[in-house]
Amino acid sequence: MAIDHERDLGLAREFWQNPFSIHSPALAALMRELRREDPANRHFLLLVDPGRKWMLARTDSHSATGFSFYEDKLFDSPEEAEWEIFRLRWKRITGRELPLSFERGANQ
Amino acid sequence: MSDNVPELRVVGYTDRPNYHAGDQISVYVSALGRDVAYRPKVVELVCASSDIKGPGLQERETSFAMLQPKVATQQATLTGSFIQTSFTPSPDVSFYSLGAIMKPSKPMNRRQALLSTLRADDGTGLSLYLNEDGYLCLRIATDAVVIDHQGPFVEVGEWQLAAAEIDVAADTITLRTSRAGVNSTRSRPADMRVTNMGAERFEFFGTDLRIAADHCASGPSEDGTNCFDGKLEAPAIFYRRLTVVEWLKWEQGQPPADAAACWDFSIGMKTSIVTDISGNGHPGRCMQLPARAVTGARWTGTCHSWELHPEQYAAIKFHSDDQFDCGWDVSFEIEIPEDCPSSVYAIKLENASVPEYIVFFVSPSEGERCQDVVYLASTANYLAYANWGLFDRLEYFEPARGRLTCAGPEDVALYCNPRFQKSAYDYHKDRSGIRYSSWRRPIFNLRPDTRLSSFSGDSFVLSWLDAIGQAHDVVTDHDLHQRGAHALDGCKVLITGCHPEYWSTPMVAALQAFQESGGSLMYLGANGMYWRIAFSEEWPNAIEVRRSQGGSGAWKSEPGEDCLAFTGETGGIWRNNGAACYRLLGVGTTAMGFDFATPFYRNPASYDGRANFIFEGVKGEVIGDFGIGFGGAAGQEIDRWDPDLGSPKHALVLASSKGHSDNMLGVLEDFVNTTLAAGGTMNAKVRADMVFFETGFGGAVFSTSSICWPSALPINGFDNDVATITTNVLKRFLKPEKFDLP
Repeated sequence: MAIDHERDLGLAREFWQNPFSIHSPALAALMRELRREDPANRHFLLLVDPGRKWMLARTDSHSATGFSFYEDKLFDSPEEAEWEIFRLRWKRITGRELPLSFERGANQ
Repeated sequence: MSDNVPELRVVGYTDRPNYHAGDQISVYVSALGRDVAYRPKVVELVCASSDIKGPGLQERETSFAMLQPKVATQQATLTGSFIQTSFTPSPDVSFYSLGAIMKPSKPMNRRQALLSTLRADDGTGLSLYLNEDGYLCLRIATDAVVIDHQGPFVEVGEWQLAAAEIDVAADTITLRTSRAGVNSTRSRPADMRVTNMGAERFEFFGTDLRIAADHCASGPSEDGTNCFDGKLEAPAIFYRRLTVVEWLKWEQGQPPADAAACWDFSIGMKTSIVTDISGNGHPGRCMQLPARAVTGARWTGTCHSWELHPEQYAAIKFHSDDQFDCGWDVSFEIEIPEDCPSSVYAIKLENASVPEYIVFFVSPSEGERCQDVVYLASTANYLAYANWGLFDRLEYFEPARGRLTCAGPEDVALYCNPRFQKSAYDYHKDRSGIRYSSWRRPIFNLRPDTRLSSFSGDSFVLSWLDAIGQAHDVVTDHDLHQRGAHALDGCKVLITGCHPEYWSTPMVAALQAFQESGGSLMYLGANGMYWRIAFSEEWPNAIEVRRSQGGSGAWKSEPGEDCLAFTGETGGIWRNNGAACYRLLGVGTTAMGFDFATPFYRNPASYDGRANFIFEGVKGEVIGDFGIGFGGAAGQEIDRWDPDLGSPKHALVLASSKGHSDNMLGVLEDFVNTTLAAGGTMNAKVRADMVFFETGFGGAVFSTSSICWPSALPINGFDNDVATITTNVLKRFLKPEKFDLP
């Protein structure tokens, strides 16, 4: 599916509110699109401080180790990381920035 | 890597998982690269998770003797299976015919030896091999010359006889390939290439013949022995020219009887020994655990049991990444104190980076009675998942699981050190499933802070027992297999971890005998007793799995390869082999999903008087809407009560989960067709059933049917409904009053 920043902002909010839940069919379709990444350049989380800190990383065929680590992208929870990578992928596809957060409880 | 990125720099292993007080442990340690200074010490692991929602990583000091600081260097790691024979070709012969039926695997992008007498020291001898471009070749190396003769092109994935004729008198080499086996294209003639030998004089300076590899050169190179990837059958050497008819018979797996040496792999398939049927007495020994009891060139497709038709299974499958024993030198030894309590321990190697934990288990000695409560450590499961190759399927995981893939330093280190065999969920380099797993190699993912479906998740059971002050012993799957029900002598309540998935037939028999003697079981996980495995005294502490007859796993056994080589039993899932899981646990695997977990909701059966003791102090209908990692008590993998499959009809289904997403998928064996209705929102079978039943022998069974259950125990300092229910069950199961059938 093509992702449209204005039209799909509500789906972004739905994900932000609860990344680990039963998603609406529209969000599920959007997630399938966002999660489609080249295996040679695929994002993942590295556990750097068990139960406390996660670092964003990706496979990188140009790196000697096969990986690139984003040492400035550290998260306190998997939920926080999910939202950050959601925003990163959203921008890659739409060219538009999502807010760091939404107002909790407000309508889109 | 940067200092901010945690890195595993030293790893190790022991001979086996299970020890007793007074035993000695040999410890093998290697650096992963440059030398690493480390301080070894033995700790007791009470909780193997640092998660802040739980008690945190709990390591206890032990009475083991202090160990001196050491420096780890990188040790050479053996990998790749082959056969070492005691046969050396005679030097005083004027004609040699040698070869084997083979089915090479993809890819063929490196040199692979079929039959070799090349000496490791000076490289002299003879090697029949496949070269980097896929041609059959023969190397003749004397102290004067090394000549490689290139023969016909070899077809990948096809059975063919690959052979060489050396005519010393005529000074010629003939290399030939021809289709072989019962399904070959018979009209195709042999493809032959004749070349001049080139050497002034043929001198046979080889050593004992090796099948499927050249002789080992020292060093850590993973391809140092040019190991073969594929199947071999009926290798033989003759001291004469063969007739056309004899070549045709060899193509059908029946080489002439007057061989100098000829090995029939259909004999002794449960063993590591291969038999020379020439009568000249040159047996061979399998090294690094190649796969026996695999379909050969004569497999007709009409038989699936190698014990019924061994001649159809006269092949051995070799892999250049098979690994039974890394072959490291012993780094140091540890004496287990005579007063060492049964528990879970680790040899912790503290160093400047991520510490290594070499986990081992101390169980009660033979003849010693267990305490009332025994925790069953899932060592078979740890082996099956040992060195799980996360990065080999990274593309698949996130979309399939519905959450970002999380890796630990151990996953990165495993990826960066590919000379260690991966898990029974992974593939060999030729894309066939890995069916063996051995303890004699570093297990990167057996350590604290790994996945909650394994060692770390299991440890919440131990930390719960510790929190309630319940004394207990630890018995491993290996103990249960080796000693049967005697491993549980004295035990009243057996408690499992979160994921006791792999069971051998003796393990199942031991649990059944335990229950029939009045013992009670607390099955605090899911996916239990799912795959049948086998052990072999020939390959100590290793397991074999065949993923056949349905089952939800990472790969499928090849057609005709359903039966375990170690025992001859049909492999696959226990559901198809007597449904032991339903009979003994009350439930069986129903779904798998890794995005989030849900709570349990009480069913009317939970108000049955038989279950009153379970819910004492529990208020409300929702149980376990919390948990470490996945946020609920019902998740990752879940089981259901199903009387049609063998669950006891009198069992009480106390509570069930609901609200799973479509990433929680029903198991393959419940479907006869592919369907969109496999996931949690559409499939009524996607639920975890918490079950209680009386066994009829005085004991009872409590099954939580969820891998996430133990991860919910520690929430709020073990003060929650999940912990209350679990503790209630344990207290009642320990009482002397027997349970009667309703």
